[in-house]
Order: sequence, then C-alpha cells, then structure tokens
Amino acid sequence: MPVSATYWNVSGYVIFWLLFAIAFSLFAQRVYFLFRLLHLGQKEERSESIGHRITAMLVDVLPQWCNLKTVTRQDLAGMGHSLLFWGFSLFLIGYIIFIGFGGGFGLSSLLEGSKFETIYSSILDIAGLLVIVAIVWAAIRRYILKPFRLEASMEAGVILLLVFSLMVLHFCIEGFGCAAYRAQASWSPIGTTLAYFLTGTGISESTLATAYKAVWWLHYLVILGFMVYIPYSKHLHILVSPFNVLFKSLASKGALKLIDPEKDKTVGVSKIQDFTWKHLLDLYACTVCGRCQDACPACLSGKPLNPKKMIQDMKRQLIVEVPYLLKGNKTVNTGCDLITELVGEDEIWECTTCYACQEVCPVIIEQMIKITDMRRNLVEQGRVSPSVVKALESMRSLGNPWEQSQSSRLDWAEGRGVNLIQERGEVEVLYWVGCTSAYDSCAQDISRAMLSLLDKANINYAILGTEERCCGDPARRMGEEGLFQRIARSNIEVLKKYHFERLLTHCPHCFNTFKNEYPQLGGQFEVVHHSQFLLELIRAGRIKLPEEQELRLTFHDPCYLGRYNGMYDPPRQVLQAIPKIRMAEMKLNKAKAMCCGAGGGQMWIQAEKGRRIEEMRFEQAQELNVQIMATACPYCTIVLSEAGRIRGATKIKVTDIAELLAERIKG
Amino acid sequence: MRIIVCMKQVLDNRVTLQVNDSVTQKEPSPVYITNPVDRVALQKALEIKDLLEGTEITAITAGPAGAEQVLHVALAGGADQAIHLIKDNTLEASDAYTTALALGKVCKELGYTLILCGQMSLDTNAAQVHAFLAELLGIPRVTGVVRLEVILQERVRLWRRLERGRRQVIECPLPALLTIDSLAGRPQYVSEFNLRQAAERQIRQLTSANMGLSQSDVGPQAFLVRVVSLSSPKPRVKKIYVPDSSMSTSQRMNYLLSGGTSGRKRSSLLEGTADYLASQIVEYLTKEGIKPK
Amino acid sequence: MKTKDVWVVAEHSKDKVQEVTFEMLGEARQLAEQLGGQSCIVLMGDGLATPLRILANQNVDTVYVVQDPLLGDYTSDAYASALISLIKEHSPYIVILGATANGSDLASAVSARMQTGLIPGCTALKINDQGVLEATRPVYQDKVYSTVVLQATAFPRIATIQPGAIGVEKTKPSESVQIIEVKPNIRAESIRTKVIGYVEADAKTLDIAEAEIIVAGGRGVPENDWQMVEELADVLGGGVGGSRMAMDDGLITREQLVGQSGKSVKPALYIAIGISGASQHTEGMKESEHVIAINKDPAAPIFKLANLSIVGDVAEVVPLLIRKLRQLPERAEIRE
Repeated sequence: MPVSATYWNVSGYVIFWLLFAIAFSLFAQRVYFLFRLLHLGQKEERSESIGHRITAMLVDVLPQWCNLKTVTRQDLAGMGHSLLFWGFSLFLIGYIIFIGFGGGFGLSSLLEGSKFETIYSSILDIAGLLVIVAIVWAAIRRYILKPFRLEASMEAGVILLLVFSLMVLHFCIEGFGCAAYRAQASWSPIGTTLAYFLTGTGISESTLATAYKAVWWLHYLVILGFMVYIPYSKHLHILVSPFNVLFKSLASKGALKLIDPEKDKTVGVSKIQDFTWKHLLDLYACTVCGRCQDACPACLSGKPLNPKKMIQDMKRQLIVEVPYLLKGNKTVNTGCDLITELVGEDEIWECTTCYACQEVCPVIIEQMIKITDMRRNLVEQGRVSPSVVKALESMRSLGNPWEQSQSSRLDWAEGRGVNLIQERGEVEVLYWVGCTSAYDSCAQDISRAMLSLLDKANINYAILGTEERCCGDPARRMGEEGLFQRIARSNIEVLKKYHFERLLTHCPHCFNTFKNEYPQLGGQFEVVHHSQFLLELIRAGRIKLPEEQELRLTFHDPCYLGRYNGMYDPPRQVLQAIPKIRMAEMKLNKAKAMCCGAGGGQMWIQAEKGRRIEEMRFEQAQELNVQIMATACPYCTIVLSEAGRIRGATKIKVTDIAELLAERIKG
Repeated sequence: MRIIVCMKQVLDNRVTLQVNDSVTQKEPSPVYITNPVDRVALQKALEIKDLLEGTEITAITAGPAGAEQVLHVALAGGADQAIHLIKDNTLEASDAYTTALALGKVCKELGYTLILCGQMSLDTNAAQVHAFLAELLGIPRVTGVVRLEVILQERVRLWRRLERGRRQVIECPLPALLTIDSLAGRPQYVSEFNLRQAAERQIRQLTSANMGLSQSDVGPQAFLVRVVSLSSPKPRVKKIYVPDSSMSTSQRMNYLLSGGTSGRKRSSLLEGTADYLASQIVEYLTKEGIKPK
Repeated sequence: MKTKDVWVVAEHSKDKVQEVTFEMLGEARQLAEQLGGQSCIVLMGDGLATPLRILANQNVDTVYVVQDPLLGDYTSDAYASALISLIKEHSPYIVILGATANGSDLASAVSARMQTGLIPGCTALKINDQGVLEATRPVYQDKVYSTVVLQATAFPRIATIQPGAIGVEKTKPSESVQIIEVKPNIRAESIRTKVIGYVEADAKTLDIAEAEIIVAGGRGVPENDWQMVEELADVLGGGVGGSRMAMDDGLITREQLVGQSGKSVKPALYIAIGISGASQHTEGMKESEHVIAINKDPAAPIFKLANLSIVGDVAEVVPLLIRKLRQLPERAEIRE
C-alpha cells in the first residue's frame, strides 16, 4: 500500500490524512455554508410519515426509477445515468473500504488477498468499464449530438473528465499494482489485462512500483479534488438529491398550499428568502438536465419561460447574491425582487400549470409551485394584467370569470327540463356543470350531452342551477388565494345544504379542486369525473352504444385529469367501448401529454409571445390520420376547436367524450 | 397635502338589468361595484402620494348602508382614511345638489388641497355632483382630466380630454376639484386578502344629523330633475339628411320613402367586383354622414 | 321678461362647426315652434368670422355673437361667466349644449352657478303634454333609457345633447337672421385656470377607446398587406385596431387589441377587415354604431353584426376604397 511508504521523511499516513483534512475542511465549509443558506428560507413541515418517506426515497433512488421513468426511444439518457449511479455507488463503497480503511487506517493487510477483495475488485472492474462507456456516450451526446436540453457547459465537461479520469486511474492502479508486485488480480479482467501489457513492456519492477505509487496518489488527489468540487458544482446533486426526494411533498399533486394570511409571514414569494427551505434545497438538487425545459409547453412554444433556467438563476441568486444576509445585516437591501429582476413578470404568467416539469424531474424539484408562489405575491401587489383583472373581478362580483350574470347560469339548458336539487331533495348524483359549460357556447354542448346521457341512463341526479358558482380553480391558479378561499368556502356551505352521494363533474379543473383542495377548507365530498362515471354506466349496461361507422380518433389527455390525478385509462376505456373505434395515440400522450395551453388561468391571461400552444397540440393530432380529437375537458375542447378553425382543419373535429356518446345514443 | 377622493357605489352593469319602476338586477341578490372611473381617480391620488411625501388620502362615499364596500376597496388600495356619509331620508338618494351639500360640509371640515372625482358614474352618468360641489366650496373645477402633475404643491398642470384624441393643457391653482376621465389610467387590482384586512379598519360614519344638515338646508333648486319612467333601449330614430347629388334619382327616392330611420340596419351580403364593392362602401359612408378627415 | 326662446350653444373649433351643433339646431327649431319662441344660436369665442358665416346661413332666428380674446380658449370660468350674463340679460327658456368635453363642462358649471336644473346627455328633447321639458337619456352605459322632466320652476332649463344621437336634417336657411353682437363682461382676474396649449392627436397613437372611427384587421389581412389597414385608418382619420390574430402576428400592440382580452370600443364606425367575427372579438366591438365588414368568407360570423357586409378579397377592395376616398372632394364643413 503506497500509504505505508515514507516520502521525503514524511510518513505516507501523515500525507494521506493531511490531504484528507484539507480537502474535507474545504468540502465541509462549503456544505455548511450551503446549509446555512437553507436556514434563510421559511419553515416548512416535511418530516411527517418519515418511515414512508425513507422507503419511498430508497425505492426511487436505488433502482434509479427517478431516471428510468423518463427514458424514451429518443432519450436514453436515463439509462446512462443509472449505470453511472450504480457504478459510482460501488466505487464509493470501494473507496471507503480500500482507500479509507485499507489505506488510511492501515488495514490493508486484512483485505489483501481476501475473497472479498477478489470479488469486489472484479465487480469494480466491470462497473468501471460500464462507467467509462456511459461517460463516453454522455460526452458524445452533449458535445457532438447536442440535444436541445443539454448545455455544452464547462462544468459538465469538468465532471465528465473527472469521472473518466477516476476510472482510468483506477484501472491504472490495478494494472501497475499487479505488474509491479506480480500479484494476481485474479478476476479483475481489465486490471489483469493492463498488468499483462505493462509486464510485457519490459519496464523494470522498481519503475513500475514508483509509477504505481504515483498513480495511486494521483488517484487519491483526484478523488479529494472531486469531493471538494461537488458542493461547488451542479454535482452537488449527489449529496442533495436523496434528501430532496426524501422531503418531497406528500400532499396530492393537485393541491396548492393553503395560505393563512394571519399566520404566514408573506403571501407568496417575491424574494428568495420568502421560499421555504425545501424550495431552496430544490435549487441545490438541480442537475441542469433540462428535461423540464423539454417538457414545458411554454418553452416549446417559444416563450421566454424556461423552468431549468429559472431554477439555475434562483440557485445563483441564493449562492452568489444573498449570502450577506447570513451576516445578519439588516440595513442593506434585503435581496433583489426575485420576480421582475430575475424571473420576469411575463414569464411567470406564461405557465399553464400543466405539471409536466415536475412530473419529469428526476430529483423531484417543484418548479411549477415556485411559479404559483410568485403569482400569489404579484396578486397581492396588484401587479396583474387587465385581462386577469377582468377575470378576477368578475369572479369576485359575479361568481364566474366570464363576466356573465349569475341568473343566466341555466340558459344553456333552455328548452330542456332540468332537475334542480332545490326541488328534488335527495339524489344520488349532484352534477356540477361548471362556469365554462354554463356560459361558453362551444362548451355548452358538453353539458347538454351529459344531460342526455344522465337522462337516458335513468340516473337519479340533479344540478345546482343558479346556486352554482365558480369552483375557484382559476382564481387559485392565477394566484388569488384569498378569492379562492372565499369562493370555495361559500360553495362548501351550499353543497353541505343538500343531500347527494356523489359529486359529478365533467371538468377536470373542478374535479381536481373539489377532490384535492376543498378538503383543505373542510369540504369532503365523493367526487367523480365524468370519464369514470360514464365508464361505470357503460360497464353496467346502462348506456348502450349502437354500432355505427368506423371512427378513427385520438385522445388528448387533459393535464388536470392525467398528470394531476393519474386518470389516463378511464376516458380511453370509455372510447374503446364505442363499437368500431380505431384509436391512435399521439406521441406525447398520458404522462407525457402536451398541455392544450388553457390551464393555469391562461384562458384569461393569454400569454402573447411565441406560438399558440393549442395550435402546436392540434398539429400533433393532425399528424395522425384521425377524424376526431377526443377530449375530456371543456377548456381543451374550446381552445383545440379554435386551433382547428385557425388551421382550417375541417377534417378533424374536437369533441368531448360525453358528446361522442350522446351522439351515438340519440338514435 | 390632503387629497379627498369621492367614490360612488353603483350596481354592477355587467349583469342583466331589469327595468320597471327602477333599475334592478336579475340576480338573487344585488351586485355592487365601485364606480370604475372613481377607482381611476383614487389611482391618480395614489400616484401623487408616491411622489409627494406627506400626502394623505381620504376616501369619501355618500351612500346607503352597504356602500362601505367602496371604502374597503379604497383603503385596501392605499387610502389613509375613509368616511361614509350615510344616505338616510333627509339626504334623499339620487339628488345631486343634496349630495354635494353633504360632501361640501365634510370637505370643509376636513380641509383639503385637492378633490378628485370620477368624471361620471356608471349608473346615472349625470356628472353633476362635482359641479355643485366645486361651486359650494368656491374652488375651480376642471373636468375630463386624463393626466395631471402637481407643481410645487400650489398648482396642477392638467391635460383635459377633448374630442378625437386632442388634449387641452391647462394650469389650475390649488385648492381645486378635478374630475378624472377613464382614459387617465387603470385602477390597480386589490387582492381579496387585502380587502379582508381593509374591511377591519375603522371607517368614520356620518349621518345628516352629524353634519348638521336637515331638510331645510335643501333648497328649492334640489329635485328639479325628476325621473318619469325607465325603459329598455329602443333602436334610435335617426334622421338622415337628403343625400347629395352623387346619388341617382331612384336612390334618393328610396331614401326618402324609407322614412329615414335606422336601427341596426343590415344590408344583405354584397358581392361583385372590387370596384363595385369599394364604391358601395364609399356610398354608405357618405350616406351615413361619415366623411374622411 | 322671460322668453320662450330656445338657445343652442354652438360647438366649434378651428373654424369648423361641429356636427352636434346642427343636430341641436334641428331639435331647437322643433322646440321653439312648440313653445312659440325663437330659436337662437350662441356663438362664443374669438375670431368668429367663419363660424358666423356658416351659422347665419341656418334655419335660425337669432345668432348671439359673443366675441372676446378671453374667450379664445375654452375655460370654465370665462365661458360660464359670459353665458350666464347673456342668459340673465335675455332670459331664454331652454339652453341646449352638446354633451362634448367643453359643452358638458360648461353646462354643469352654469347650472351649478345659477342653481338651476340640468339634464345631461340626452338623445331626445320635447315639450310634453304637461308643458314641461321632457328628455330621454341613456343611463347604465346605454343599457337603460330614462325619461326625465325638468320642473317648470327651473330657470333656465339646461340640457346637453349626445353627439350623433339625433342626426342632422337639411333644412332651408331662414329668410332673415338677426345677428346680435354682445360684448361680454369678463374680468381676466376671474379666470382661475390658464390654458397653456393643446396637444394634437396622432392617428397612429390615438387610443382606440377615443377614436370615433376604427379600422381593424384580422387574420384575413395578408401580413405583407397590413399597411393598407393603417392607410385606411389614416384616410378616415381613425385609429387602428385588430383581432387576436393580428396581435399574435405582431401587427398590432396589446393596446390596439379589440375584444374580450383587449379593449371594448364603441366608435361611430368600425371597419372589420379580414376578421371572422369570433365572439371573443365581437364582444369588444358589438356596440359600435356602424359596422362595415369585409371578408372573403360569406359564412363569417362578423356579417351577423355588420350594417354593411362586403364579401370580397380584402387585398383588392381595400386599396380601391382608399383610392376612392382620397378622390372625394374635400369638405370644410357640412353645408353652406
């Protein structure tokens, strides 16, 4: 062991531990600094159900599901990273045992020649080879193939180089070691091969021994250097990401946090310290992989909003610009206004809250939540665009964002008998129509279709009629938390007045907010989306679908139904139940589905830059040879129909699944 | 300096209105909003406050119980204090003169440098209270202000809105009363949390007794204008003058015979050569009296 | 001695008499006949030779010419003072002004100072069966029409007429018009405000909310041909607007967007070029008085809203239209 030798009258152990001490103190100092920065953030409870959290984390990280979940035919990077992770983990254990205990603690004699060493060395050899393959592959992708989401940055290059050199040096150690001491590396294939080659060169044993020592110490230095580099680079994710996964949110995806203005220090976020410590931890965990950027519809449509850039900018702000706060200097301006100076007000309003960024992030960063938090603060300051003001003030006075009268909420049902709960008393199903399908002429077809289906299937149902108000989702997504709470509370009171078993809605936004957010305010109802409900009816034979002409269609997954609530199958099963359906899937479907662009308040915000997201999505349907683009959300129906009109696509019709069924049963 | 902003609560007119003896809404319960241009006036006051230290803003509304909603919006928006003149039987609801009388008393008591009002209210669009108020207080009044700058706290430079985008620039000494036009700006959005907080603040309430006003103070000139009836809009009967000589005789006869009325008169779809179509448009413009430049 | 005369305060600027004056004259003539009094014009200002010539040629009995350098620019104090002394001297029964920026200002100032009754923003005036002045006026942003009366005790009765409400009738000028020149008694010190100047409107930057004429373009305008929209607006002296498509293509700014997420406008004339008429757009312009739509698709929903529906190729019709409008003889005033 090179550590046991003496160098220039200094014991190898001294050198070993001195170097380690220096490196470790640099490393620890930096980590401590980063840790202290987290304390600038607000408090947040994230350690409940700790047992479950630990299990979930191990399941996500160890088998690398976090990365494998995003592997596609186009992007195999997740597999490469998994190899790196497993390989690196094995090496880390190896370093600790062989270099740490064997070397530093002088216990190498226990290890040398042991069965454990033999087996483990062989494993490391193979792992090393795989790591090298992965590294080379990664380098080729990043610097030659250059996919959109990967930056050909210096930092990335350094890391690739460091890992590569570690592997090479590892093999050199094996090779030189075996060659110098004629030891049998037995099952380490590469080490043995290299040793064989070196012996064959005829270099003297003593030279080989010196070379071996040199290579060993070089290897040691690179390891220490890497250790120090980790907290100064994006490789910080090695330390942070397991914790980031450990402390992930256990709340349902569709529920934004409830604010109590009397308890919470600020409403929303305007400065970096307004974020909770967990949000700040997110910034450390980011590996700049760019998957979020690739998935973000705003980014894809050419808008300035880029979730990856946002997280990186925030990280830079935290580490570079804000640390003077640690000195407790209160007289200095406490951090720049995060919103306008860093992220940009326009960018904040471009988000459609589709959840694609968070779904795809391998280290579970909450990009979208940061944006909604910033929106909340903008609303408090009154910094909202005129179209947002119109929608919010309309919800405030008129109970809907469409500037329509409460009294005309039933106009869509004119000419049909409607069952009003006020007259009925107890019913099985309370059908919630929603603002959009009450007032918008395109979406009214959905509610009319639903009435036909409910009547035909003889369901014991009723509607709220003019007592219905907006569910509050647009207000909450646009950041008007106070308005959401008031609206939700009054809706809960109304709902509690009546007797019904289930609350049925065809709008995923209403569905999501009733199911996942109303409980925050004391409203616990059994909520069902019309796709689930219609499936039930079909399976129970209460709706019979006659055979008709063949219909080629594709299904567009609504974000608030799919990613938010995991319901990819019910609408598809409903469609499959229609005889002679030929279903084609768009490339971006299910968890990867692209947003229609109207969620998150965009129907009213109407971000201006870049292409219209709904047009891009409609184009994706046009690539398939279909007659129908089926949806299960009124917003999707409206904007995708509009997109179709704009593109002059008379061939493809955008319809809700309820409309498709209702058309069939009419005859 | 103190700025007084007069604000009015009006029925929300986005809602379907019902017209019988009075105007009501076809809603389960009445929906009120703050007169939008009054909020623009408050916005102007806030802008002055941003620039001039020591500016105090008092928001006043003269209205029935429930009109405090307007003051909550004002307080949440940044007004320093709010006063509610409760309209009871003495101060009969819709008379401009009496309202001005009450406002005038309060303004005199408070002291002020500038009084801002919205140009007119959404409901009655009478634009008269401020006329009476300025007269009662003996201060100059400038209407239709779209932009204002305070100069040395002794006068204001104002841009008045004239027709077709023209502006008249004038200077007016302080104290003065200004009516703000809707083009002057956009009121800032007030969040629900802020409104909630503002609703808990103290609002000074005054009745006619507090102000020492009684029926006798209301002179004979009050209630000169009386509403007789209300109705839904009918198509406007508009006379058109006899068309000029570029029209053919038959066309002139047609116009005369048609009696010269127009509601939303719609032509059928016209098709033809580009030249014909362009001529039709010119004819229409001339006939309706819309000429270039 | 109170008369039964009906007065019209003329609206004029820069040697042009505004159309609302002629609208008021028509109404005044009717009222004067009903009352048995004279119809008179009050012409106030400085340098009134041209307006006087025009007004003396109308169907009116008397023209009061109130000329003074202090009346050169409109100020509330000077004009109110001059008008009030004239009213006090000649005691008209009714005084009618235009519901314009200056007219409304003057009317309310006079009524406040004389402590009399004012009916603002009328669309019709008449003497009813009880012999009192009855007016129709829109309230609630034109959603409700209110009929009001002015009590007989009011002196004088003041009303303002909304421009464009009545329309103009061509009538024969009076045989003899009495011109009375009045020297107003205005003290310069009593004018509290000072006019510094005027800012002219730039048709390109004109806020479309103020424009009486708006030319709006949509998807049907080929991107390279957008300037014809601007040219047409220029020729007509109007503002430029557009639909969401135009904004997405960067041809108009958010300030020029008409529709649900943009502005609501109520101009006298709205020309929709290549606009399909989706409800998000029509929400913002359906209250326009005159709508001319030009679109190549006869099924475009905009035609349901248009007064004049032109089915044709925008790129051909609009340039021709511009040319024809430019060729029209320039009219300095409506009639002589």
